[in-house]
Amino acid sequence: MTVNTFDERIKAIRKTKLEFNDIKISRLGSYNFDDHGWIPFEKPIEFEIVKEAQSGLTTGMEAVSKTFANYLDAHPVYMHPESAFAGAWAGNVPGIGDPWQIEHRLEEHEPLFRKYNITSRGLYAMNHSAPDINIGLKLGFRGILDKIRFYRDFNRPADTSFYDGEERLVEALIRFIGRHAKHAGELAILQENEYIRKNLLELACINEKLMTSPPDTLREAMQLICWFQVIDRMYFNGGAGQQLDELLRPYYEADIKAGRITDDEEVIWYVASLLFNDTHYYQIGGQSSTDGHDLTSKLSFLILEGMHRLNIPSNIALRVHSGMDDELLDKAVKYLFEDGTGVCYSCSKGLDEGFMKNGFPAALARLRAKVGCNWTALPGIEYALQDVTRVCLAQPMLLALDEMIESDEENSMSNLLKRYEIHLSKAVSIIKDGVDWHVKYKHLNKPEMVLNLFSHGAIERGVDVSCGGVDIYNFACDGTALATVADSLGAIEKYVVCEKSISWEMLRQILKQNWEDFEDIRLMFKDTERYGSGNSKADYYAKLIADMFTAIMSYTPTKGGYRVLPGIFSHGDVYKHGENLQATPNGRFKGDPISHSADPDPGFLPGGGTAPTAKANAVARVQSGYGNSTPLQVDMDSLLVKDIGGREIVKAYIRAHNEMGGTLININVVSRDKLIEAHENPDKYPDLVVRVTGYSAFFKSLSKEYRQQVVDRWLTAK
Amino acid sequence: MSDVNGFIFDIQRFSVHDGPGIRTTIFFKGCSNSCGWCHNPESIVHDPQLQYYKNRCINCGKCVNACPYGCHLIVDGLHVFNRENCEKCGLCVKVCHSNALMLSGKSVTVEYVMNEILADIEYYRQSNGGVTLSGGEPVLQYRFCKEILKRCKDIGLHTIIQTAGNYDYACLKGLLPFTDLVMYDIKAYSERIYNRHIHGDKDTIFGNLTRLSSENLPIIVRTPVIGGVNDDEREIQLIVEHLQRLKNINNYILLPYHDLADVKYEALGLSRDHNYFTPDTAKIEALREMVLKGDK
Repeated sequence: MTVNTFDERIKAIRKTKLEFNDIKISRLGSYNFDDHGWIPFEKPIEFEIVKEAQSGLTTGMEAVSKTFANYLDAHPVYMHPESAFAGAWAGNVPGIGDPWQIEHRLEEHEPLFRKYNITSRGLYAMNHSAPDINIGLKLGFRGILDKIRFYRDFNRPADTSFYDGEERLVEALIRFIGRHAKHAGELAILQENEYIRKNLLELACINEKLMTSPPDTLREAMQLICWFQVIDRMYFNGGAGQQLDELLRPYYEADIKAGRITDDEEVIWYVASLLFNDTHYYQIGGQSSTDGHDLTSKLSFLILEGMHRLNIPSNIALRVHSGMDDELLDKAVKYLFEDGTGVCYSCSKGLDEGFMKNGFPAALARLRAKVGCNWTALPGIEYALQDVTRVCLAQPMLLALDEMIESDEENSMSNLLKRYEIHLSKAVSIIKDGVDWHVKYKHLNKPEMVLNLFSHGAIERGVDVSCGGVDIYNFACDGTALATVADSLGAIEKYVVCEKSISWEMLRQILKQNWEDFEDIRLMFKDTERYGSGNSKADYYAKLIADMFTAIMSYTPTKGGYRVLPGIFSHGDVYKHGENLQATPNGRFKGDPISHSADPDPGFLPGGGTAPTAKANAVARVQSGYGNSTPLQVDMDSLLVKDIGGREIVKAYIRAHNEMGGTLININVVSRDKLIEAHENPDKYPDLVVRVTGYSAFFKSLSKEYRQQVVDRWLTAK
Repeated sequence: MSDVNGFIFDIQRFSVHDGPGIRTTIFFKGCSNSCGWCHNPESIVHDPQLQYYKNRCINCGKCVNACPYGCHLIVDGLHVFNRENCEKCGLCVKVCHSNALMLSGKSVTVEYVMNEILADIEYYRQSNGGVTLSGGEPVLQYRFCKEILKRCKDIGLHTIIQTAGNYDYACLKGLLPFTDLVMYDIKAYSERIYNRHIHGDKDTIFGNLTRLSSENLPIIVRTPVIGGVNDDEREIQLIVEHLQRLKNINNYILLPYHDLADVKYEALGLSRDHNYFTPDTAKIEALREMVLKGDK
């Protein structure tokens, strides 16, 4: 009998992953979100979607939990014969995406959201907070069920729907796990290959156990995490994990001690199998909350290795701090060169010092794990609603420009900026109103069913995490289009105010015409000293606008008393955010993409180049400084930095940005020629993975526009 | 505050091939050689030069109105540039927003350069990088170089001079107390190559290297390997043997020629009639092997 090595097993599941990716592309055309572990099952899943009686919508705990449970009961089982774990998911639970009940919608603010081009409102959004998976590992799913039942009895609420719904979900999950255990056993009987049979029997045994008991071994613990990943993703695409190396370290060490694991290759296979199940967002490395010592362990390296061997779009962050393990950083950067992308680098100095400015001690700041595209949150104790709320920083500028010119007041930069601040404040105020509304009504519509299970307080209190189930509430809002507005203001000051090349009124007219018949003026406005070049007017405005946004967002809470922490991040949605934005004075056409996060626009240096240090300096300078991220996206040509010397340079670069107060770095190192070739013919490099922004994706899965976004960043690299 | 100005054509940040670590490289305009294969042709002449990138031109005609010397015309809707009368005043550059017209070379103060350098100080610190003076030939502007180097050493920055050695040695000697490493270009050994392709004085270049080698400063010697010119074993061997007689030569590096500069020559209006080519990889590897063996 041929027994596949662990590496061969990893290759086998990778092959399946690439095949699944091709099927996904054939079904969807392209997909511009991070690659998830969902399996493209052949047949649609038929099950009953339950509606709430009064509204006719799938809202409220009862309807949502029943629908979710029905979906789990109807969901096919899945196990890959070469994977260490059972289970997969077909997609989000269909039918639960209904809007909130009409009386719970903030309709009166809709015109304002549109006026300010706010497409990601935060309001109505789901998850985007960090679970504490330890709860599941300590209790097991049966233990969680017992906990629900205990507190339902203890609290004796008049309305037991919260507990009933959570109970329903966990019971359905346990049944789901049971079906997998049974199926694994049945497959094992029929399996001729002895080692696959052994694997299936192990899966049967592990999952049989997890129906009733918490895990004891590393493999059992990671299987439980797979089940968490499955239901988390099913439920509105939840993707937040935790600091994975610390989560698993006790199990690994116990297995080593007991002689259950004798070959680290087995652990690497576990990691690859976990990531095959889903690419949740995890952190490795970090600092102890106790005394700040570095938390790198053997497991940190094994997780990195598993990610590298599987080489699919993974979402693992390496926490950077001044005392971090250099070998771990070296390994991460080594794989960055080999794979073209890899971990992102979550920078502790900016994050921790910023978070502490809100009045939190260092111990808590260190606990805040990087478990989302650009964000961190405290596991199980903080409701953060990160990454789903954005304010377009460019729209207030256009409104202010229009208003100022229409008014009788003098047209000047200072008046423009005064009006800008008023509009920006208004945009922020409706976001904050949305936060209060969200807290008030969300649990009545789309309760955080999965997060409740993995939070401290929700089950104990019988209260959803979104409205009192945890102790800490820090909402988040990211500004977008910073370079767009900074370059625009710089250009206005130069050509309208200083050189008087055109009048204010003419500028407004030209923008309304979308630059038509004024290509020479457009090129003139585009050809200003840009944000990122250092000491330009645009740099001044970038800092001014970033600081203004930070102050407006963070200095006062919402009317309900909630804190909202600012950041600057556009996700990959530069096209989406630019769709409804008219032409801007930086030479951008109406509907064109906005600038990316806080990055200067490509080609920002005089002469049209881009220097990674200049870019990093610019982004470091505009950090909001309250613990949320303003990421730096760096795309380096692999010819620019190569060999061991190149690795040291990239490590130094990462450390420097951390020292300068940066919060997050996303890096791609790929040959420019390869990228351009892949853009022209995506099938030529089917397994090329790139970091789009805070998430990774197969390059060929992205739409042409998204691929263009990535390529544009390269083309101007000097 | 120094009142010495320098004339440069570029400041490149995140330079990773001009010495150890992350560096900022200052490119000085003007050179005492005139190598036919130079990949920065705008570096050879000290004076400003107008670059015209035809593929960027949008034929808007603004340069026609701006130029007092009649160098620009629009003929049948297309821009025509007549370089003969160009005084390099830069007025057309100011109105060219498609960056088709650019002026290479500008006068800068020490403060200006230091501000650029200081922007990346954290990166030098983390990577053991620093500042490299290159060009062109930086030593020709030795007074300015000295000011920059002194200021860099005052704040503990690592400094490198990249030089080709064709000048009075006294110019270089005055810079050495503020220099941590010299990267010295030896482009050939044979007199005929100097006469035909480099147009620099071989004796001066080799003599300066010999004097430099006794100054107790680390030196890295570099040779651009040009196909059809110096890419034969005998030529490189002669250089190696010469270097073996000197002290403080820490490394000897061969740099293969590339033809990416052709677009720059065209932009400068320089005709380029040459047979230079990039030697194939096997040839370069063989030469490197030979150098390594000689090193033992």
